[in-house]
Amino acid sequence: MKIITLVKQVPDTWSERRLDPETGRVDRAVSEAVIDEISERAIEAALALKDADKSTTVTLLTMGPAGALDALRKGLSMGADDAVHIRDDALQGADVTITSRVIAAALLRRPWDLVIAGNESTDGRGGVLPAMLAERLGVASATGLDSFELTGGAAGGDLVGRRSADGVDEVLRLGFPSVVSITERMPDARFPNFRGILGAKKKPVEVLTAADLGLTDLHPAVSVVSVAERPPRQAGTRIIDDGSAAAALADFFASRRLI
Amino acid sequence: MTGSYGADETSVELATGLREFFNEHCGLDRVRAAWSDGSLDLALWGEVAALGFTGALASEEVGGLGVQPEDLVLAIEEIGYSGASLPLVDTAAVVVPIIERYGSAEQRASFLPGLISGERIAASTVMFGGDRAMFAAEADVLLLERDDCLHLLDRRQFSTVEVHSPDPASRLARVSVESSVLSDATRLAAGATDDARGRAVWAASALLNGVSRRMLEMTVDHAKTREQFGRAIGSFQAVKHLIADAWVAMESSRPCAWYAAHACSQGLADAAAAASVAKASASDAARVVGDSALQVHGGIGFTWEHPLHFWMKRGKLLEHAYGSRGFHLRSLGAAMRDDQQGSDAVFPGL
Repeated sequence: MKIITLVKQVPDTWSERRLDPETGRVDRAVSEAVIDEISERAIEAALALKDADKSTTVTLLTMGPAGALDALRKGLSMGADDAVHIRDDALQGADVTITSRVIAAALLRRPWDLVIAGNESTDGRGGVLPAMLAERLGVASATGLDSFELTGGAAGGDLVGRRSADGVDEVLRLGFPSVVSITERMPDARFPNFRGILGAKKKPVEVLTAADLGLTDLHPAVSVVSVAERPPRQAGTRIIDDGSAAAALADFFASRRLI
Repeated sequence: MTGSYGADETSVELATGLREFFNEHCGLDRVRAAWSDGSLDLALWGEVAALGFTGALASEEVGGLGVQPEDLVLAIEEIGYSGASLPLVDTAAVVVPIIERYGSAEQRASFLPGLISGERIAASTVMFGGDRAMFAAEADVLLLERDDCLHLLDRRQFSTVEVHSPDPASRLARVSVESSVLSDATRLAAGATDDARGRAVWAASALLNGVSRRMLEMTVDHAKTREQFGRAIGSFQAVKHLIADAWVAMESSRPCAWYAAHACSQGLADAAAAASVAKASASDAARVVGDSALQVHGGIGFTWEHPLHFWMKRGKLLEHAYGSRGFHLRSLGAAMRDDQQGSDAVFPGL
C-alpha cells in the first residue's frame, strides 16, 4: 500500500501567535515553527500501517516555505520513506481553494492508495482541506476519524473508520483510493530514534513549484481585506456598597438590557 | 566530522531528539521517584536504549550508528539536563567504543551485541586506583583498571559492596575482583587505559555541563518570578551578577567538552590535555552555578523538597567523579612543567 501523509508546519501552539496586521497572514517571525501535532499523529497512523505490513510506503507531502523542510525531516526521522515539498513564493497567503488545487495536482503526479491528514491545523483551523481534496480528485473520503483499520489485507481490502459526532458513534467503510482525516484521539506520535534521525538526511525530498505542477493562474477565492487587533479589554466598573449598590447594579443591568 | 561546536546539524538533531524524549518521559515526578527509590529506573533505561543511544558511537559493522563522539556531546548534555540518572555515559561513551577498539574478537562478539541493544548495562572504573563505580551493583559488565591495564569482566567475575553516594539516584559501589580472575583473556589491548580515561572524562564533563545548564535555567526562572521589595529579584544588580558569572562559567565550559571529544576521536596530540581542561572547567562551572543557584533560590534548594536539590546533588557527585578540578589542574600543571606531549601527558600519577 502507498500512503501519502499531509504535513503542515505551524507556529508553536505554546508560544505567542499573531497575525501580521499589514498582510493579514500568520506572522512566522514571532514564534518557533514546528510540525503540527496533528500531522505527527497522521504520520504515526501511516507508520503503524507500515509496521504491520513492511511493503507499505509512506510519503510525506507539505506546502510551505523553505523552513517547512524541518517538519518533513521530523517525519522522515520518525520513519517515513520520502517526502514532497511544494515550495513557491507565489503560494504565500494561499487560501484553501488554492491549497487544495495545488495539493490535488501534486497527488495526481504519483500513484497512491490512501491519503492521511490531520482533521484541522492548529493555525488555520479550516478543517476542510481533506474533503476538498477528495472532491477535486473524485475519491472517497472520511473525515474526523478517531480510529481506523484496514480489513482484508492491502489488496482489495477496505478501510473501516470510527468517528463520533453529535452524540452518535459512526462506523464508516470505504475503499481505495481514499482520503481520510484523523483526530487527536488517534495514538501519540512515536519519538524518532537515533537511527531514524541520522537516516532522515539521506531520504529523498522532491521540491516542486506551482509551475512544476502546471498551475499558473492561482487566485484566492477569498482575500483578507483588513486585519485589526481587538482593543484590549476595558477595566470593569467597581461599585462600592454604601447602601446604593443594589440600585447601581440594577441600573448597570438595565443599561445592558439584561433586565 | 563536525566543523565547530554546536553548529553541526547531526549534533543538534540528536540532542533535540533526546530532549523531546526526556521532556515527555522524564518529568519531575520520575526524577523524584528515582531519588526516593534509590533504584535504577530500568524501564527508562530500556526506552533510551531503544532510541539507539547505547550503540551510537559503535561502528555500523558491529550494529552501532557510527556517530562521531563530538556529535554526541550535546546529547549527553541533555541527559544531565533531564535529571535522568542512568549509566548511559559509561555504557555508550566509554565501554562500547573501548571494547570495539581494544577488545579481542571473542570479547567483541560476546559483549558488544548485548551492550549495544541495551539488554546489558555497563559500569566502569578507569581512573587511577579507583575501585568505586556508578551503578556497578546493577551492571552486567565492568571495565576495570588494574596496574594501568584495562580488564573487561562479566557479572560473575566481580563483586560489589554499596557505598554512600551524595546523589541517592546515582548509586555507587566498591568493586572487588579476585586477582586470579584477571588474565590475558580479560585484558584489553595496550592503549585502552588512556583512551578510556579520555572518553570517561570528556563525557562526564558534557554530562555535568547539562546538569549546570538545568540549574542555571531554574535559577533564571526563579529570579524572574520571585518578588522582593515589590520587584522581581532578577532586577537587582547583585542577583544579576551572580547569574551572569554562573552563565559565563558554564558557557566557557561547554565548548571545552566538545573539543575534548573532537580531539579524542581524531587522536590529536592534545587530547589528554583537552580532557583535563574540559573536566576542570566543567567542575568549576558546576560549583559556581550550583552555589549561585542556591543563593538566588534563597536556600530552598538545600533540601530535597525543591527540585533544584536533585541537580545540585548530581552536580556535586560529578564535580568530583572522573577527577576533580584540582586533580585535572595538577595534571595539566605537571604536563606543562615536564613539557610532556601527547599521551604521556595523560593524568600523570601525582
